Amino acid sequence: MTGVFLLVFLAFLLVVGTPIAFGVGIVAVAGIVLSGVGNPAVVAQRAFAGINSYPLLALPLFVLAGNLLVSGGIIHRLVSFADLIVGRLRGGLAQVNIVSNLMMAGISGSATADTAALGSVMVPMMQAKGYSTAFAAALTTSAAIVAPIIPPSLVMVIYAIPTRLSIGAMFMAGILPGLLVTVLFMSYVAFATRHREPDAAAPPKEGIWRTLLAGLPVLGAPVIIVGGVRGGVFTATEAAAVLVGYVLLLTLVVYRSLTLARLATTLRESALTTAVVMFVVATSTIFAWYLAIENVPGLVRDLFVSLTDNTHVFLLLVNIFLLVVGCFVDTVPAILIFVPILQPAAAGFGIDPIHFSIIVILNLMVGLNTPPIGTNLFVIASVAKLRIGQVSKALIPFFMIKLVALGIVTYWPELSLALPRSMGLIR
Amino acid sequence: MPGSNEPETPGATPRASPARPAGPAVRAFRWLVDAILVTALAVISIVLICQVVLRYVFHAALPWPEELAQFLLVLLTLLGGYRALEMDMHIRLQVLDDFRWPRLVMLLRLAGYAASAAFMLYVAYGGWDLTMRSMHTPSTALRMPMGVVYATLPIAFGLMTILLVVIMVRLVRGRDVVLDRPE
Repeated sequence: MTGVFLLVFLAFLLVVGTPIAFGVGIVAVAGIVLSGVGNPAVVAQRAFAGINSYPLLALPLFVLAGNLLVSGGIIHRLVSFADLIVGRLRGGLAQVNIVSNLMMAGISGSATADTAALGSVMVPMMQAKGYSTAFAAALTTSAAIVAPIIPPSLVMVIYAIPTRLSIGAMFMAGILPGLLVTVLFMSYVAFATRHREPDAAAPPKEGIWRTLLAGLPVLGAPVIIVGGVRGGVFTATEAAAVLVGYVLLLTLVVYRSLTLARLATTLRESALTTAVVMFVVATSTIFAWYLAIENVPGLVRDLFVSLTDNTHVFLLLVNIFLLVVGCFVDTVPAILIFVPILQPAAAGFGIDPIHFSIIVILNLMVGLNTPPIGTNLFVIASVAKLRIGQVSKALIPFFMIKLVALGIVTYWPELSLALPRSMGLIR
Repeated sequence: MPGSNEPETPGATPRASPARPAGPAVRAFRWLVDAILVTALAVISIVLICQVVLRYVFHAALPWPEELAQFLLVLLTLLGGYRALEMDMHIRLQVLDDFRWPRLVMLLRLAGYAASAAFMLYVAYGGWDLTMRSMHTPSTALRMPMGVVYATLPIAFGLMTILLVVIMVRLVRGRDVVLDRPE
């Protein structure tokens, strides 16, 4: 009875526009007060403990590194670099968009940040070459979903909080699925643009070698992360700190593209972005704690076990459930609320937790682009100055591709597990 | 942006009037909080970069940088959460913002804000309790009283309670509820 009331209460709060972070906190406190299981000091302590975390320190650092690269004007270098590699193909600019997103994913850990940054550059470029704006927008926001799957990944840092999984192992597990998504998108674009004349990419103004040289240091960033986290030399937080140092060196000294005034603005923006995400973490921690007291994870596990005893059917059910969740709930609260519930059930079916994490994250990334609530959909619509409906329609073929990728990732565990296993990060 | 889309049916409620420019005291306070946020993130980055250098180059890691960075992250989260509320940056659904019946929407949103204020007050009180009880408990590495660290909770959640009351009053009066518009 209390459960139904709380669920309806939460739905009400979210629909009337209460911030999600506040909504989950309100409902958790309401539940705690109604069942008399805690007091204000315990609740405050839980919220504090949720954010007073060493692994979470990677979050502000990865956010800062990504923002520094954007305000240091790195996007254009990346795009020129990608143009050099795939620009001459049919649908060249569309392929450049996908490859730029992939390279950006190796530096930034947020699909939303990448959508905003690359969208503002790629959408006008593609428009100028005669692509439809809706196609350009849909492509940019779809290709950006690799950001949290390819390391570094803010979402994986968050995912490690309730599950205590190794962030390094998750980082490695994401590489091949991320490349798979990229290859599928590139194949589709090659098919969709097969009748187009080549975009006749203008040779880079500065010449091929200079473009390559200017782009190469940026590609050093993923090397630092992958190289550092591999074999557990660095923690993810240390890798993030090194990345910030490297990016500062790049933008302040090598490229000299970042002024001190811009640096202060970037710090402020990064702090606010971090705070918004971390605030969700703080209140979701209270919520997850309340769920655990009421043994909700155990009940859900029993429910799934009673529904099916087949692992494949279970995974299908989880995928459908998460796709629906992703349509309505943003990634971070979705992970902090549902992963502690689903993870024990998945473990009960013998699914490797690292493999399961990639399935969950890919699902929620699909949700970022689906109405009614899709953060990236909103971002790209505002960047491209389109209505949500226009972008949504253009997104349909990309949605199909994402479902194919999801199917492969779900039912081919080795794709996720081979790399971390070969590096000895998991057994 | 929320609050900026004025209701299509005129006359039901007074139209949202644009926010008056904030007074000097309010602006000074915002500037101070922003300065704390920028400093916190800068210090987090610097101490953690230095710690990596000390650990892997000089093999002489210090005991306190991680703890300091974590405490600053808490400060950044809670004070940043307050600033994000002022700027309407928290992630929320905006389906109701353009809804037809402005009076009904106003009442519904008021209910949401009231529940939020109650939640903030609850945590602020709990944080105060926690602060007072742990003034003599030293932290692990820095040996500073945990009460000082916990004090961020009642301060930030208290500030947010006040902010929510201000927002509710403005909502009832039909004013813009976004107190500080970015840019």
